[in-house]
Amino acid sequence: MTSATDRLTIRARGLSKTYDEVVALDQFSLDIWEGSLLTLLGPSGCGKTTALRVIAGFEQATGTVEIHGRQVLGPGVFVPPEKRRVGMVFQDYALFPHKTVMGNVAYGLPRGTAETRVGEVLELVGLTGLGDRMPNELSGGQQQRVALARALAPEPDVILLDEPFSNLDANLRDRVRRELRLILTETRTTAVLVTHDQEEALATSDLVAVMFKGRVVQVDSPAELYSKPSDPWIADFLGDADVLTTTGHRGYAETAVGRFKTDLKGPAVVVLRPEDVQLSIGETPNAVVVRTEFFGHDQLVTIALNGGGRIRSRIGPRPSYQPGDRIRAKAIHARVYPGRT
Amino acid sequence: MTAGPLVAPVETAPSPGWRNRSSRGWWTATAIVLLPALIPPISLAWQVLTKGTGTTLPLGRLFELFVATVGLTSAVTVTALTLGTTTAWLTTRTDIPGRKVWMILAALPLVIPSYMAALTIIGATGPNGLISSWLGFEIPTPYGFVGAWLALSIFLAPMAHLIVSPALRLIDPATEEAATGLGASRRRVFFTVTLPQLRPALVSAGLMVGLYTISDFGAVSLLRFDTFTRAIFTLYAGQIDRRPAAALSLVLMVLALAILFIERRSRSRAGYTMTRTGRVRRLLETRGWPRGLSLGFLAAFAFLSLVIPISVLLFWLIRGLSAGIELGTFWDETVRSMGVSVAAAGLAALAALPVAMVTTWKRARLSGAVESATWAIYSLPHITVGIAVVGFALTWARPLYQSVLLLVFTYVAMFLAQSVSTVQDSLRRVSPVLEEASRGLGRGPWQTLGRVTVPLVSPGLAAGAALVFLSVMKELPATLLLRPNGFETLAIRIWSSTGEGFYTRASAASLALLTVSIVPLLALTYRDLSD
Amino acid sequence: MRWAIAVVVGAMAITACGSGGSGDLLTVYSGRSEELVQPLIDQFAESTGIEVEVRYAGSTDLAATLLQEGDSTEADVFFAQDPASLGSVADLLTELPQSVLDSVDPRFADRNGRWVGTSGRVRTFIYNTGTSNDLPLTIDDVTNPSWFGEVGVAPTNGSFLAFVSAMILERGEEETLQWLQSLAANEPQDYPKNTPIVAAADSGEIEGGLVNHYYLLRLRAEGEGSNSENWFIPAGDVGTLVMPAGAGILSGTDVPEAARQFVEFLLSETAQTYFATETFEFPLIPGVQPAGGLPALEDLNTPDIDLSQLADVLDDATRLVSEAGLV
Repeated sequence: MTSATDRLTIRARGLSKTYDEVVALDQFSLDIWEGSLLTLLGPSGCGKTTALRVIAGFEQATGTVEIHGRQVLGPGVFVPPEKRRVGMVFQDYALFPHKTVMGNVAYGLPRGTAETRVGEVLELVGLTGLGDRMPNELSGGQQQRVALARALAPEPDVILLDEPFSNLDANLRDRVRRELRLILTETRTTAVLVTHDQEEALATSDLVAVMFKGRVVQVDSPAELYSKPSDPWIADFLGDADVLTTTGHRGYAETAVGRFKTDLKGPAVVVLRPEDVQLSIGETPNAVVVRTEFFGHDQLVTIALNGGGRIRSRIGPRPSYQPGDRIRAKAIHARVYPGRT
Repeated sequence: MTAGPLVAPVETAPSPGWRNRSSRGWWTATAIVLLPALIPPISLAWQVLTKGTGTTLPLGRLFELFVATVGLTSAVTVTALTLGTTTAWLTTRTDIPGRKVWMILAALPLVIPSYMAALTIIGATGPNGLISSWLGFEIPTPYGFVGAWLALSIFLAPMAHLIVSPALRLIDPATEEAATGLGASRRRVFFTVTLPQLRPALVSAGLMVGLYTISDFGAVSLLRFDTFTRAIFTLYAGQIDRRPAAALSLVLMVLALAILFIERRSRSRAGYTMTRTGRVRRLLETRGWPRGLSLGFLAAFAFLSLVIPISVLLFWLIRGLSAGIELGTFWDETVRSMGVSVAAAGLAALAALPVAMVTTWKRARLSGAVESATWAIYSLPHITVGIAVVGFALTWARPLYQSVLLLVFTYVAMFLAQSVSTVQDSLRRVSPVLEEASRGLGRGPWQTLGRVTVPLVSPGLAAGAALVFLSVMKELPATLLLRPNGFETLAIRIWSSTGEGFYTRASAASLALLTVSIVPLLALTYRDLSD
Repeated sequence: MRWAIAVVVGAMAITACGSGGSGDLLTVYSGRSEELVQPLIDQFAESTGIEVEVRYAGSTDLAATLLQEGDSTEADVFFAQDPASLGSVADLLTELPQSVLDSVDPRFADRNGRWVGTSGRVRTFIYNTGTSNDLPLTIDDVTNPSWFGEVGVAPTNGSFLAFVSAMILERGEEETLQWLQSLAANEPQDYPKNTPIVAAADSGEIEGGLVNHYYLLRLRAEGEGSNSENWFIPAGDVGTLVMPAGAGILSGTDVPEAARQFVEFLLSETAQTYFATETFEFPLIPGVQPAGGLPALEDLNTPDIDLSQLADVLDDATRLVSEAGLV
């Protein structure tokens, strides 16, 4: 994905921060490449917003941060946020309520160039003509775009977005996400986005960095991350996953729904995604249907395996199973991880 | 303190006007509360128009009074706002140690009425004052403008502090961070982002302070500075013909309403929302001399506004007692003060409920007018209300003349706005849907009122009652004019004793008043802090 | 919530209880200060068992109030600081019994018997003993430039207004206005009442003031007042005006008997001795001597003014004081 000739926009190494006994960041390290969109994904409380704020300069931490090769955080070094050329879009937009849209967007610009640049940026985000409105006169989606425009206007080195879509209606979210991606690509802006919504992370970004308890646990492209999560927890976080315990023995891990290659020996867990579990009638049944949830374009069938354990299978709208049906389940793909002793 | 599940501010959809059955009762109750409260200005206008103005002051003198009043008001407003905003800023935005204590100290002087402040200044200065006795040199008593300005500015600063503090806290910290992220220096952030968002609170505080100063009677009369209120009282008490006093009162009422009107109009289009993120704001770090300076400022203010007044009072009390001056008891006055204060506070809280309902949950087209009327009544200078009500009672309600009942009702009318605003705050935090839920579960309107609505707004009711209690304890001019024969309150005792030069007596009564007032004030301040 | 209502009702009950008992309740409107007369009134209440309720305020204020209240006033007795206030409500007062009127010199009672003087008060010029100015020989001397900014007056006080009224009777409006204007031009210090003027003169805050004679003597009784003296202007003009405090009975009174007793009490030896020894005023009944080193009233050169007419010109006096810019 990235090549040696690509520039490194941000390099964060070993960031650590504790608030009152709570560890917010634990040796957090991350590289962000020029022109890419990286999403920091993790459950609430994992420290992703804190990481963002440290990079922006609103929080202190131990460790180092370099922006375009220039150190802005380190032992004895702290460049204040107003000097970092980092644009920030806040979760609740933080528009200046007393200024017009124009006033907001022009805020970070030097006097003089303001008007033309503001016009450009407003056009970019699709808000031409709304320069004289006050923030409270705008809809949520429009406010978000003003926040984006305001951050983009001074052409920062990188733009940081803290859960930018969480305050929008569900149906607006997809549209705005796509538009944001387009704008960022068009302007070749490097961006870091923070979210707890894995769908959002997988759909929009070039790279996803999964965070857990203050550290980065895996960085990969969305596809790689989804199909090759380095840990069962990540697998579960990124999509639906079911777990079966077994042991690794002579190159295989054996389960009721199939047998999978592995080098592990000893206790192991097999992680299955519902879309990899197939159901059939007619062969020797090895499970019983517990319930089905119908979504129109697909359905999720929960089954109880005869040997113990419950897994789910995602299949098309037909056929329709009833609770109590005996069926055969088979997994066509799974990942095996070391189990706990 | 407020209801559990629905704590976030809720956008309430207006219910379909006053024709809606569930609203009708509230609107009726509001009419019962507000219409009598409108009597003072209307009856005063009627009095003056029908009876004429008598021989009023010459135009030159009127102009003098106008300049004096406006001059004092402007000076006091600017000073009090500056002092109050500074204390608010230091206690909410910096990391100086002991913030909670400084917050309480900054608000505490609110318990000291203006005439007591005047007594303090008089008692501290002059040849027999505290300063000359303890420090050996004499500071001449600053009668006139300087004294009045000092007395009012220092003791109205807490009012500004209490209005500006919550506003400072509620500004979304993200807007300030956003500004920083966009390259603004700390100074620029303050002037272009913080201060403008503070504007509504500053205007509101300025209005409160300004109206209070225009209305003030105690300080200007004791410190002998001629403003409208002092001139009105001089005309009222110094002449057989009461008409000029009534006429001048009407002029002053109009002036007060004009100021209120201007403030309402100046409300800008910007919507200032409460911060929704639970994010804790980072405090400004202070070290070294800025910290020392800040602490010094707060300490100096507390010294001027609390230590000196109490010292003066104690000084005169002890000196007088040891010289054998007989004090008599203040038991009667204290009981009376507390009695009317509690009565008025309770009634005001009760009366506030329909008015608050009708301007929050049960909004209709008239809601704006109701709100304006409540504040208009509040803004009327108390001496003018007193004169109006006396005239009204003598002409239209003779049995009520010089009765405690009329006095209490007048108090309620004058201070209603205070309890209305606290009940409004409570109502805004809770969803009106709860009322509907209760009805849906089969409880009738009175049961819903008793079991759901009132408990939900009880914090607002209690706060409103406490505010009104304090206001009534301190009130002077209306009480002077309306009181029944032989009915002296602590306020009157303090004022008349000071006027006659009996500072020992005045100090003793002052300490009594302070003791009684301190508990509700601490309760209010504590509640503000824990919010 | 019920609890709160109970508290409110209880509070109102307590406050209402304090006032408004029925039975023999004598309501006195007193323009004389509480400090001065409450002890005397307490004596009366104790010895007669009559309950007395007093409304203290300025004499002019009370006169205006009485006029507003009209016949339905609650007041039974009006005890005022000066004859002008009494005269202005003369129509509301009932004629006093002849025995009461006869106890004092006729010049100290209303011509029509509506009010009677209870103690004599003489206008005086108080001065700080450290002053280097010549003491005024006539009332006009008070407006000399030597007293610029150093004279204290209480222009809204009943006694001052009575004094101005007397000047109008003596000299006419025009000259009175001139005098007032000269006084105003001399920038006098403005006080709400007489007591502060005396305190100020004694402390040196001002060098002189126009007050009633007894304030200084009362101050001396408290151990102060050693730096000032009373000066009775020798010319015999209104500078040394004698104004009795006085009392009258409201014709609308519901307790005429008690009211009469009260007025009689004020002229009794007990009360007159009180006025002489406690408040240092001139007693008006024969047989009681003034105290505090005061000469007998007859020995002072006082002007001859028909006190009953003071009320007629009170409004003019107020107007002139205002016109001259003193209020």
